[in-house]
Amino acid sequence: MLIQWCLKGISESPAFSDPTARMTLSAGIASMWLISQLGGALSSTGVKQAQDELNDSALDDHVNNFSAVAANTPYISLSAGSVVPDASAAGFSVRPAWRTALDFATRGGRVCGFVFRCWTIVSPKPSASIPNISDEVRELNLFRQFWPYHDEGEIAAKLLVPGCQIDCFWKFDENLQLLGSAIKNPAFVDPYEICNIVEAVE
Amino acid sequence: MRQLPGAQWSEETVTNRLRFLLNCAENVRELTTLLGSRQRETRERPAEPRRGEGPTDAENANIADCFSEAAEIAFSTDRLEIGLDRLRSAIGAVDASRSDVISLARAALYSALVNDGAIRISTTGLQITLLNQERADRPWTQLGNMRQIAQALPILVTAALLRGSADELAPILFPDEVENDARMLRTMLAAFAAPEFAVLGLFGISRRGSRFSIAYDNPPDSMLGGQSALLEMERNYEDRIQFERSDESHWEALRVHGGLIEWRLLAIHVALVRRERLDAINELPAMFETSEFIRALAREIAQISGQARGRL
Repeated sequence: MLIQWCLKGISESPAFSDPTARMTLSAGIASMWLISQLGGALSSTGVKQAQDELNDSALDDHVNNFSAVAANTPYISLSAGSVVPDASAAGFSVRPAWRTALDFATRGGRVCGFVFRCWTIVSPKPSASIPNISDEVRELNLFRQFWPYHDEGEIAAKLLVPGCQIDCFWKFDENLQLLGSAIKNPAFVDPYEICNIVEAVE
Repeated sequence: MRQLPGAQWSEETVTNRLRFLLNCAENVRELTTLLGSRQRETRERPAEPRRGEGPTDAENANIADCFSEAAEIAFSTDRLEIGLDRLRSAIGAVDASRSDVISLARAALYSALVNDGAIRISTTGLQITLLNQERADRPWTQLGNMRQIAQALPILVTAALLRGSADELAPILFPDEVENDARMLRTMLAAFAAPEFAVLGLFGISRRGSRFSIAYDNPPDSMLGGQSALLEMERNYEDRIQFERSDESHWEALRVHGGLIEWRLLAIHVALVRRERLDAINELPAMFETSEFIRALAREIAQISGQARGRL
């Protein structure tokens, strides 16, 4: 398994304002399915129901047919950036994660928005039905059916990115200017704590 | 009114997208520092603006990408002057003295499109001037491996085609001594597979083995080969735009995946106008609306970019 740093852009709206962004640091980034079906939090009775929503077909819809499932997808699009072959000028282009996240956060420079920095555990194999493990849909060796969206550098998290995996967020205006400073998450758990570098016994 | 087929975006959509890309380009350094990996590498210290440092190569590549994407949108929506201006900005992000060969080739092509700068290709390397930068002499050995150079050569040749005359181009490009340089010969043979080299037939340059020679009488074989290659490039461009348009939600938001302009195809059409070689394609009807668009755009660019500037 890999620990992957990601960015998540969410635009400001009546449904997602400054207090909501602050609350997200503790509550986590919820999928639209979790919000619409369970009010944004997993309950003991909802776990099985939530797990049943995760499958290959649902992941395919999330990427290849997003507009049809946007309001109800159990997956969460995170941005990790991508290196894209350049058909027009040979070589490749780099699409940094920050650009994609800001594009979605500001709706292409139309509104203010929030960018969250978080980490998630990514499987080196497809795992559409397994909660807590994210799918690296930008990886063409694993998900060749998603090649049209390779440039978006997506990592698909499932159901909920827990608050303890969110480092901080920033708010930007429509001109990509930072508003204020980073809001840190006091409950953030550094992924170093679970990585495979182990200290000697003292 | 010259627009890419399907480019029915509202004024607001286009303006917003152009502004977003401009804001990305102008804030690359700050945004990379803030949101990129740099802060995490030094996470014990809060991110601070890097004072006294210029943009990194990766940041410059990002800047150039944002500007060239903006130029594509501008050219696709009948905003020629904005497109040329964005192309100049993209060139400005590339440092000819240290860029890799692909970035350099792209910048050389953009520079040739706006009819500025200069380029000379030889068996030992490149001499290149981008906008108002000093001339850079870059030996191939510093520029990249054979694969990268083979990929870049067709673009560099097209750039040279836009900026020089045919009779000086071919001998400079492929002098006899290349046959004694096995590494360069292999690189050039790999590059010859690109359609740009077949297209040279339209300019009276024909190939015999590894050599190119000037053929003022336009031998029918090389002319036909050039026409076929050009039509194939136009077909590929049509396929690419059709693919982009098939993703309606991204197309409507002007979030395309692979670009709106085929730069190499556009450059060849501009070269045909500048070198007064339009008779070579007059008998070739534009098979697609995208072909008509790119040909019309090329005529406008050739007209507006006017007199050549820059010399080695």
